[in-house]
Amino acid sequence: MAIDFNQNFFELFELDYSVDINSEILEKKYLNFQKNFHPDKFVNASDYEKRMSLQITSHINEAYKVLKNDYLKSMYLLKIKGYDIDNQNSTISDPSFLMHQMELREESDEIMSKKNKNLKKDFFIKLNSLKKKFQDDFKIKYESELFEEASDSIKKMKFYISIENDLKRNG
Amino acid sequence: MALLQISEPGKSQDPHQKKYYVGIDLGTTNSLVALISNGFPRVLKNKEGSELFPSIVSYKKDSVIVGEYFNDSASITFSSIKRMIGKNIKDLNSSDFYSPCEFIGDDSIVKFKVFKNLLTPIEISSEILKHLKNITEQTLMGDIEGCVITVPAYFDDAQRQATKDAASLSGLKVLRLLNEPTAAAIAYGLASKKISKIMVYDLGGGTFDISILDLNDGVFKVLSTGGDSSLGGDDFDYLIVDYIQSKLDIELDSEKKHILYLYAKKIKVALSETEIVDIELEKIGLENTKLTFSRDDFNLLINDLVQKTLKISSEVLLDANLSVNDINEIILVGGSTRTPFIKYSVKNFFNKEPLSDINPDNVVAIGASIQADILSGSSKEELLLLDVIPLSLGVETMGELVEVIIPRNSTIPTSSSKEYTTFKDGQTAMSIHVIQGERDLVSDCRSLAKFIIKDIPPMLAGAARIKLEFQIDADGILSVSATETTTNKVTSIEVKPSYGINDSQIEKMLKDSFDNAHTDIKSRHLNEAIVEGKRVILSINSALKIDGSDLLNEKELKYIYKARDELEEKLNSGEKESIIDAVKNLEKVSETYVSRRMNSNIQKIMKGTDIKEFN
Repeated sequence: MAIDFNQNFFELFELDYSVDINSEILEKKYLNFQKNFHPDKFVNASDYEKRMSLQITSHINEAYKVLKNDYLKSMYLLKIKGYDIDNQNSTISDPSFLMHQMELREESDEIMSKKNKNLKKDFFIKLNSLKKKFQDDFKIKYESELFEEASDSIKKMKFYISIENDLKRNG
Repeated sequence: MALLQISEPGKSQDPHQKKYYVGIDLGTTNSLVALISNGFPRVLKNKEGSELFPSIVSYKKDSVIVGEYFNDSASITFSSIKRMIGKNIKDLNSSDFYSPCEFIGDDSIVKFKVFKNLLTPIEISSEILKHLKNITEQTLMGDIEGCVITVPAYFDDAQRQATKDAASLSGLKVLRLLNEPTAAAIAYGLASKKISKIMVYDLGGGTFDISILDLNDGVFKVLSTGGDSSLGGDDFDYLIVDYIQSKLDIELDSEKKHILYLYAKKIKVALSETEIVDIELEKIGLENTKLTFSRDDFNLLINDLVQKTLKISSEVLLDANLSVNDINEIILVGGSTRTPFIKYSVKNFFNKEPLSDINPDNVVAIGASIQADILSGSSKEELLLLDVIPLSLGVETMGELVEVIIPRNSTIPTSSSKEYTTFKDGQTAMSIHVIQGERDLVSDCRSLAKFIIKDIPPMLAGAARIKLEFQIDADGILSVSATETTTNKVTSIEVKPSYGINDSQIEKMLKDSFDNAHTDIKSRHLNEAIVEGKRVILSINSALKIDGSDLLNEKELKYIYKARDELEEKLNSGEKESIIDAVKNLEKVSETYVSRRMNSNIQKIMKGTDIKEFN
């Protein structure tokens, strides 16, 4: 019983390095891993096997989470290329985007205070399409190996996600 | 289908050597045991022929009796102990806490003074399990080799750990803790479905739980849960009592009220079969008064409570980002779902016929028995359960903020690690505070555990690297380990249930996290600004101490001091903006100093270094 913990998530799931991974393969592999390694399969096994099963499934679950989520996956792709955005200063220096950020924050604050469901729904749709723009942008930059520019797209995506999360938590 | 039991010659086992795997529904009011026998689930009966074993524990001076209520002075009787397991007094609300005797409740688990012993809810629960174990082994004439015990989906780490502890105290080997709604779905054989979203509506005597499960090719996930820990069928009975009292315009004494209450239960059950009942008021001494009570009257009475359950249902849907139409199956669990109006209302709300063929009292135990059978390896059925954690886990960081390490609804088992660093030069210890909850501020969440990492090698602030690793196993139980990565110093703890929150508090905490997100964000931003301000002051002070007077002239020093003092003053202002401005100002004023420091440091490094090494 073993998986190679040194493999990156794409290697582990035998997927191409891309934002658009084959989700059928992902799901199939994930289930397969779980069916082979889940602690439920090792209820009567030795302590060592139990511990291995725990570590392997934890790793698989983490990999699956990253590969399922476009934003996390994009960050991970860049990390493989040596651009660790998670541990980087994520400030955006583009002044027009900063303006845009402020406007969106204001809009979000207003929606939060109004508690209007339809307004919120529309705003989420708007955020999604804005996010999608940078997701597409990321893909182009990444595929052209413009990793600095690709990082910039992710940082912008991150802003939409954080505004989305804040608003979601507000009910 | 009748099955003939035929055993191969010579293979027939001695009945006393038989090994069984059972499912146990350890309930608040009643507990059940089920097992798979000849391919079919079988729910065990007690000697009175009932499948429900009351979760009541009575202590006498020299003995323990489970399942019977003793009201005499020679007995100490506990009921609904499940409400208290894995919690401390501080975390229990009054409706959940009841002590029939003296007790000690400090910061840890409550201890009841039962004659000469001090007993925790874990030990009391273990008596119920011990009782179930004995009855089962007597009935089956064999041993329980392993069991699956069900727990509410919202049970947190401490409550799960406590349940497991109770099982091991009773001598049971727990193969797995299983979420109650998941057990219900397994009982209905939904595991064989390809893709499905399942809502489990569980209305018992005293609690209401609702969960959404996502089933995908044999993989179950709990998407979201909610409920009300003080809403159940008993409330319906009280409503009937109130109704009768108001109709008769009398106030009954407590004894008659109790008689009426027990009678109300019967009326409720009767109304599931008939449209109208004559209320026998002779029971409470009213010979000549007549009163009828119809199903419509009843429905009207309970309508508010039913609507409340549906409101909670829609909140849980919202939490899972789903709408009513996304739900493929609804399962009714708990005796109170026998009420026709509930069936009708649920059906209407979801626009779908709910599943209710299996006895709603037994369904959870049956599911657990199927899971036990699969885990024992004797079943050919392919079933894999992937659960999620109900509440986020994190640690306290500077400024009393919670940093989430594992977000709620993460599939388990899961692990996650984060690196932290020291705040001060030469810091050798660090306190780690593990938090559970959804809010941004520590004070609004629940404290799970505190531990201290000692012997961090003294280094400059920010040089030590403390890696915290959170591991949650398949039962949802957490262990935390910490390592200083530059020296590989490891300290590890198992998070033990020293604190606790109750179900309604979990619900409240979740709800608050939505209601208060706005104020949270504000106070979070303010706290972050204060922390940043303090950090800047600390680092400038320690730098100035080292080489301030060497690198700066008096005038330059004065500017920096002024900017620093201004920031110090602003820290207490409660205004995020002015703190940030003051930080920026201090940083700006110190710019020359910082660059001189860097130059001087490089020169220091260069000194005594052979120039060749730089080539």
